[in-house]
Amino acid sequence: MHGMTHTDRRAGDAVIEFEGVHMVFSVGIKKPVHALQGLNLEVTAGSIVGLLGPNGCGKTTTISCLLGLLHPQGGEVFLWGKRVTGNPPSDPTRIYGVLLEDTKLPPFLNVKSALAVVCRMRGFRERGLEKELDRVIHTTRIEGLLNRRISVLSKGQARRVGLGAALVGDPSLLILDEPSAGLDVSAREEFNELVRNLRDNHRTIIIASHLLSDIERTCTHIAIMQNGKIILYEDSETLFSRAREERGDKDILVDQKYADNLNDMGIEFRPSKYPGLILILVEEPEHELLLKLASAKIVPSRIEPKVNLVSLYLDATAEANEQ
Amino acid sequence: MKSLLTLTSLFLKQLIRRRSLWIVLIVFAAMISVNYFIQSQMEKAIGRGVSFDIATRQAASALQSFAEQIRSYSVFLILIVSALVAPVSRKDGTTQFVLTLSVNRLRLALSQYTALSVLVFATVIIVHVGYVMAARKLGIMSAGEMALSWVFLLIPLMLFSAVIFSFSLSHSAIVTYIVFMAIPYIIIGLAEVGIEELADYVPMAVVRFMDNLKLLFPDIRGLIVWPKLSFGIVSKTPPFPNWTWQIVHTVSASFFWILLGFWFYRNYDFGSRTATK
Repeated sequence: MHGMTHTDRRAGDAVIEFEGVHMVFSVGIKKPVHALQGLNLEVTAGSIVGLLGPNGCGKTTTISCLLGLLHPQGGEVFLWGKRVTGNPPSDPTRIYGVLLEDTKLPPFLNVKSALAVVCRMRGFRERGLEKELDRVIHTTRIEGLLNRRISVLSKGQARRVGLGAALVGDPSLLILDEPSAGLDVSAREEFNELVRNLRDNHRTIIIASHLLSDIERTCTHIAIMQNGKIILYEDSETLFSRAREERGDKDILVDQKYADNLNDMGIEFRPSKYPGLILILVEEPEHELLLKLASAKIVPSRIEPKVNLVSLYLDATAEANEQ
Repeated sequence: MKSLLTLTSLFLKQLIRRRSLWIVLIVFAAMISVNYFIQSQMEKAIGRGVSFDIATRQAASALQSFAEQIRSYSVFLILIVSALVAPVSRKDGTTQFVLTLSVNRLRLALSQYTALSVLVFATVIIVHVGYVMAARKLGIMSAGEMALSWVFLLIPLMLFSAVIFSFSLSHSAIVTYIVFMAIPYIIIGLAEVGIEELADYVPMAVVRFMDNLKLLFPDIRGLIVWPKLSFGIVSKTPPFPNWTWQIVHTVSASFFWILLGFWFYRNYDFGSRTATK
């Protein structure tokens, strides 16, 4: 078996690099499926990348290539500057946590034993192991599940335990494949909150998902995949501000103190990403809404072009299809 | 080393939960039954008025034929169990889970094989102790054989389990059974039975190819001399094998399959689809 080879490069700022990666699957006697077609991607340290794309666009294949579970037929994958060849990096100071969509913890163990196995594999022993177990259990809020067998956990519970396993050793790279797939609304919101709490300036996180709302509120960078290629990759702030400039429709935000007035006027609203501001949800021409607000002496705090990840995603995929 | 122990213990638990332990328990129960059978056979014979000497000889003959059956069936048992470990682990996600913990493939395979070896070792010891208990009453085993002959059962079986396990690291249990059961035991077996007749219908080169194909497969059964301590007493009819060449061939063929298995494993893709290479 081999780990890294002479083609390794000096580790720079990039944690992950894909260079022209090709992966083709054969499906019986049918036409081969080109899962990755010259994939290029560079992820820098500390970024939280949302890997978006429709089912079958190559998100899971990308992650599997990164982990060495799949061997691409073409191109190179680098993790911390080391070429990925089928074995994980041997540097014990650089660990990564993984939550794959279809990989379960050993179903024959209970939650505590499964997490203890992960702790031991990460080098924790005795008191250190207990301490790390407590930390992970507390972070993922799974205190009530410790004595239950993995095989009897619900999907939401299993995802939380899986996230706990991924967090053992406080890895500097976290790879989450469809982390909230199959969860109901409340379980998904709870899980997303867990993930959002993991954000700091040092940890690099990759989240592959087709649930745009999960990505929009969590990630610093957005990568959109289609047909095995990255068709858009940018930091989300630049992406959203540029898109806002290009669009005409406006989002109108007012101070939260006007909530009662809006209710009285029968105007719907919801909390916005800006603290203390609420977003008006009325589907009517802007000037009419502004007139209504003016008559009620409500002054908008912000007016900005209507844009969200869904519109960006649809624009990007439509553009790629045209090409 | 500690991570290897952790992994081995994980896979041992998996093996036990996969009902492999039941195989050991069944073997144990079978050995107790044999013991009881030998005892009752002797008592019945003596009760019928047969002299103690003749009753003992009859029981010893039954026990030796039982040893012959163990030699044959143990190879099949090892084939069946060894081909299940890696595929089951891949199927339930344990393999992929371990690989995501920065464990390299070789270490993963080593821990799975160590867990399998513990099971094989336990089975061999149970079989040997059960046999020794019966054989001691009949006086058909020397002290040396009682103490050491289990090694001659364990080593060939471990070698064979390594062959099967390494191939199953990258192939399903069914494919492994086809390669190691169907080809050597059925196709070549049939060819052997009618090899002279076959020469009348197909070119000699094909016959020779079929005849020599079996050289690719290790003849593990031929190396198991347990419960004896020396080679040369298993085959009762000529031609008697040249044991040195027999051992060299079996070991070489085993290593051929082990290396081939690891070559496949090195390039194996842990995905739900098959990559086009």
